[in-house]
Amino acid sequence: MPTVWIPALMRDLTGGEEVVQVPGQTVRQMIESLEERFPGIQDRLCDQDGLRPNINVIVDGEVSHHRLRQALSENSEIHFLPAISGGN
Amino acid sequence: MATGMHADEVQDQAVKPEMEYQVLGTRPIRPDGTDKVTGRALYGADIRLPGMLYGAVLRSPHAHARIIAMDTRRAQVFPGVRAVLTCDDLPEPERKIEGHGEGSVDVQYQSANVLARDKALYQGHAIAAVAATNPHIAKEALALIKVTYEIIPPVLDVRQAMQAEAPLLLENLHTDEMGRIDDHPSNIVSHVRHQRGDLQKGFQEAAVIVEREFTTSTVHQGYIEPQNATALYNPDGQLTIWCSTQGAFGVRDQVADILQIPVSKIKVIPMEIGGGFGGKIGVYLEPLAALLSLKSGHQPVKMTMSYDEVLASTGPTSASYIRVKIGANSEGRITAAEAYLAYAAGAFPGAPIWGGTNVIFGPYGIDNLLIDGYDVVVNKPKTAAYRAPGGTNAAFACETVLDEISEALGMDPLEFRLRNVAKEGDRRADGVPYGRIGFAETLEAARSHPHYAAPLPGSHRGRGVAAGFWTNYGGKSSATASVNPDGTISLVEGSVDIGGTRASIAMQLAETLGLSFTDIRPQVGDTDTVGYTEGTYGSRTTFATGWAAYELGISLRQKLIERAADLWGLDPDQVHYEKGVFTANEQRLTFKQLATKLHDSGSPIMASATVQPGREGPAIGVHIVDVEVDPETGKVQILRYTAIQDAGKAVHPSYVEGQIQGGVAQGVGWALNEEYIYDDQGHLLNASLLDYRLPTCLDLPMIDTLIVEVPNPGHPYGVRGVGEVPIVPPPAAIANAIHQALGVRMSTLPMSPARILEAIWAQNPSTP
Repeated sequence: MPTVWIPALMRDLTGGEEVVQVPGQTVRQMIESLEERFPGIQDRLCDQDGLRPNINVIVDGEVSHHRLRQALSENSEIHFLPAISGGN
Repeated sequence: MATGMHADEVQDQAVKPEMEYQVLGTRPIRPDGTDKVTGRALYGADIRLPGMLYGAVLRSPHAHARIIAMDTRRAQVFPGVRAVLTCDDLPEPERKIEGHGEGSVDVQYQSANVLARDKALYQGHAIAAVAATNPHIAKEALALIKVTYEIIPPVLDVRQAMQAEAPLLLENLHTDEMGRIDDHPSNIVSHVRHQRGDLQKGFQEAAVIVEREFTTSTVHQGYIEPQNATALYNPDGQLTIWCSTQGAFGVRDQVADILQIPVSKIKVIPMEIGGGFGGKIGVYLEPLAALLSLKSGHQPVKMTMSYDEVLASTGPTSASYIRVKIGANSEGRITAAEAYLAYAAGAFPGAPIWGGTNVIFGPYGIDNLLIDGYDVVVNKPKTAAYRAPGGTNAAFACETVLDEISEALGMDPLEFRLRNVAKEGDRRADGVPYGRIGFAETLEAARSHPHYAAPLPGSHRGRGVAAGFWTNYGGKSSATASVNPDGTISLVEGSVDIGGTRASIAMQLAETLGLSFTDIRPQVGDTDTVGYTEGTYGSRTTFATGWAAYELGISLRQKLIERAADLWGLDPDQVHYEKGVFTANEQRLTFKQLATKLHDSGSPIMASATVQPGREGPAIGVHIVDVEVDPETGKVQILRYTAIQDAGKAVHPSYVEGQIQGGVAQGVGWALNEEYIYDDQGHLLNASLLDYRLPTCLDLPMIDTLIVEVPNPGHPYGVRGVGEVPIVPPPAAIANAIHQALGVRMSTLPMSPARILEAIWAQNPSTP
């Protein structure tokens, strides 16, 4: 199963767990699995349009441009990080 | 990801030992050099159009004030005035993040920064604009606009702004903690946290623990060319903008969002640019010039800022408060590290706290850490990106503390860093594993450099070192190329050329095709002539647009192989191409020979490429500096400076060296002199280059550079971005040198003569 690193400020929802494994063939499915296990985390990651614009998803070390549509493998490692913003 | 290939796939076929490169690593003369040294290059202020009007901006004299009323009637009827603009002329866009990476903006805030709505949020905030038949009339008319303000107490200091009782700048702003939105309005925009391991256990294992506080001042990029924009809003609804920008597409998209018109109605023509360093990504004048053109009956309107306006009204980078606590064991291994960073965003959200939290412990492998970062609004100009945004502040704090720890351990400061380097597979503070980085190689190169071992005799002299880290950025780039019948290639790229990227991009196309650099004719396109390309920022252009050029080369090569095969009546698989020569069996055609046959053998040959590579690879720099401090005046003189940096592959070494030297020069200014000075009412007291003290050639020695090349596996030629990281280490390196010279630890930037004297006097109160 994909391995998800939980952002520090969301660990209140995971009982302090930093790294979890949840099923999902895409980031969207993986977040749905996270939500089943840790209710409330989906709202923190997503708004009505998808992944919140100030959050990036990093899959296997690379910022995903497909975001929720990003395909995952069994060995994928996923991080959610604050998006780089312009200071503009 | 680039089209069709993954980084790991292209690596095998493209990254070669240095000796095999024909073009990369050479130092050709830049294609735009002649025009620039002869003064013929055209900048935004050179634009002259028939019937052109001149715009000027009325700016708030107050740092924080509600706009109660505005009367523009006298200005409107003033002879020569053709249009007057207020916020009533601007649509009110909804919240939306436009753009990517360092180029991203919140359109609603951007609009309110371009022209204030109900509140002026800093001295210099644009309030209204006028277009007139000449600039003098425009300025006179500004004085006829009557604005009634209700003055509100300003908040200028980042820590004061974070207090619950602080005056609120934006009443609808609530703190965002990774999706958890606080119920109460606040000046704190967002909170970022990186946390790994067991901090308490890590500090318990430490033999030495150092905790210090640091403050840094608001500083400006100091580009020489002020912002400018000329707009022509045609009666057919087509808008053309000529401006000085780091990214034409970013201007197009921001103007479209602010004015709420389709991007297809806007053409942005980027002129040559006299520096940007992050400060020319967001728009200021462009929407105003466009609306003034519309309101004046479709006459072109030109607007240029004075340098006073540049300093007071465009985006500097954040002042900051940083607290760092680091522990290390007796073997020199860091056992725990903790940081708190509060960055002042200026009047609207967007301080580069992401940069600060990434950089602060960036190049080190640390298992137990906690980093908290805060983006905070204050009554100063909205900050913009500035070369490794947020990184210099953070490195000043961390690298100073590391120096103090290495001293306490009795360990060489470079050796101490070497014992803590992050290696491939180690985890960054945010948990993501590092790819291949050249930190150890860069530290070793610094330790072996003659400068590090050179004697430094004399009193009040000291040598300091510091390292710097920067994540770099990839982003979207496009380019097109067409083969000319004389065997040259016309290359159109979407990246504005600030530091020599016409050359560095053309060189990668030449290398891919086995041609000479002079066979490539590069030019920068406007938004109607080339595909979408993000701005020249994030150290991304040679990396990403260079990758697009590589893709062009691959595509052109294949098309030309097919044409040669067609001419010879062969299958393309039978044609071989190497170093500009097509061969098959006994037949042979050079690139130029084949080019002459294109017109008579089929359709023209051209290619386009779009890429969005994601493995940009971080940058590392290690700096060594010698200083002499005058204990009577507090003046710090830089005696010698050496900057060592991993460039991945230095495509054009002279331009890599230039980027390093430029970054160091700006870092020295940040370290020793530059700061925005305000009174307690938020009035900027040094808004001119006479009083805002940029370094000059008299302040700087020759800055020596040493390029280390640890290829980035995420690029066909191993390229890493080089432009930003050289500004990261200088303040820390200089602070550490000052400590060696005087025995005092500096914790505030700039380390101006007054602050040096204060530190000396604090160390020895009987001195004065």
